[in-house]
This record gives sequence, structure tokens and C-alpha cells, in this order.
Amino acid sequence: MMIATLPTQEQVDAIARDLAPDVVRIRFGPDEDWAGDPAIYFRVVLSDEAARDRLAEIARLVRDRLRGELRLRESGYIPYFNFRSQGEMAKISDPQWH
Amino acid sequence: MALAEDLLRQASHLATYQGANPTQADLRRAVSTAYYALFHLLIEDAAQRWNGSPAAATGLERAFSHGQMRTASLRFDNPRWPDWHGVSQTIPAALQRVARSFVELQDERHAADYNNHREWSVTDVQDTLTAASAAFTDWQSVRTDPLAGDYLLSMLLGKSR
Repeated sequence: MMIATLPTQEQVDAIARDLAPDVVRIRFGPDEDWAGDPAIYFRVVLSDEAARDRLAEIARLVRDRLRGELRLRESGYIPYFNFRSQGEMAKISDPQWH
Repeated sequence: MALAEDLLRQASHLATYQGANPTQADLRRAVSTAYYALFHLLIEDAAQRWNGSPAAATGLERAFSHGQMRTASLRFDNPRWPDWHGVSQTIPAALQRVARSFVELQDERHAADYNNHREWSVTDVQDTLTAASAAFTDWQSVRTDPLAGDYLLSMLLGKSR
């Protein structure tokens, strides 16, 4: 499998800004998935309101925007998406999310 | 598809029955169960297409492996698929979404079952449950399409064509 260049944090930040205030920030990083294939994990922090009231809608929008605008299909990385609310961020400490 | 639907309901129950503060154990079991709901939906549908004995259908279900199903799903998460004769076929969007969800849910299931360092949030688990539920809806809308049969066969055989 050919591995293309990873997206930049600036590209991802631009999408996050466009989806504000529902999307607070998006972090990402390359890794291997459980099968050992190259993967890119997106960690999306949502506003409490968006997570509570519009999770399905905003999660679909985030996936579609990141997949489409970053051309993830062509990148050679399998994308995965994880979501947390701002309130949950206060309870769960994980440096990869900050 | 009774088992698959029961598993999907059970996944939702596990994530919500304790209210706003579910345990990590319940959240992990909810994610794992959501994956197995989709897994069983697909293999039960494949078995239903078998005209042999019920025992043979059970044997057919057991022939599916998680790894081969993932490989086939990666192939079908694409706009086109070269069929068994090498002719390029358009994959319906709903089928692409099912295949994509299968890959994502399987990775989540592995993290839920084996990554003891990961902390799960309610939001993350609700998103997983929503993805599984949407995959059920998509599968019902597309399961009679010939490409859905090709997807199941590819999952069983582990071959691209």
C-alpha cells in the first residue's frame, strides 16, 4: 500500500474552525490499527450541547468533511474517529486529546 | 436476524441502564456488543441465502472470520469493485457505508476488549452505537442489491474476485 503525506494540523484546524462552535478542536495522529495497517486516528472534541443534542448529525458531518477534504481514501491511511464532549475532557486525562 | 437485533438493543442497554455515569466495563461491553451485532447481521443474512440444511447454514456462519470480513469491507468501502469476471461495478453508497462501519466498529471492538489503557466516554460510545444502528438501516436498504451478495461472498471467501 502506498503511503501518501499525512494531513497537516493546519488543514485539520481549518475544518474544525469551520464547524465551530459544535467542534471545539480536532487532534490526530498516525498509528497502526488492530490489524497492523496504517491508520490515522482523529480525536474530536465537541461542545457539550452538540454532543448531547446533535451527536449523530455532527459526527457524520465531521467524518464527511475530514474524509473528503483531506482525501483520506487516497492517503493509504485508514481513518478512525473518536468523539468526546468538553465536559468529558475534564474527567478523562489523555495527552493525545489536548 | 433476531440475534443481531437483540445484540444491538443489548449494546444500547449496556451504555444507558446506569444513567449518566456508566462504568467503563459497561461502556466497553456496549462497544464490543455493537460490533458483534453488525457481525451477526451480516453472517445471518449470508446463511439465509443458503438453501441447504440448517446444520449446514450453521457451518456456513462459522466459516466467516473477522479478518477476512475486514479485508472484504476495505475493498467495498470504495466507489467501484471489479466483480468475479473483472467487470467494474458501482458499489451502492449504502453498501459502502456498511463496509466502512464494519471496519471502524471492528477496530473499536478490539480497543474495547484488549486496550486496557483507553478510557471510554459516553459520547464516544453513543457515536459507536449510532454507527452500528445506521449500518443496520443501510443494510436493510441495500441487502437485496446484487452487490450486497457479492460483499457477503467476498467476506466468506477472502478473495477479491
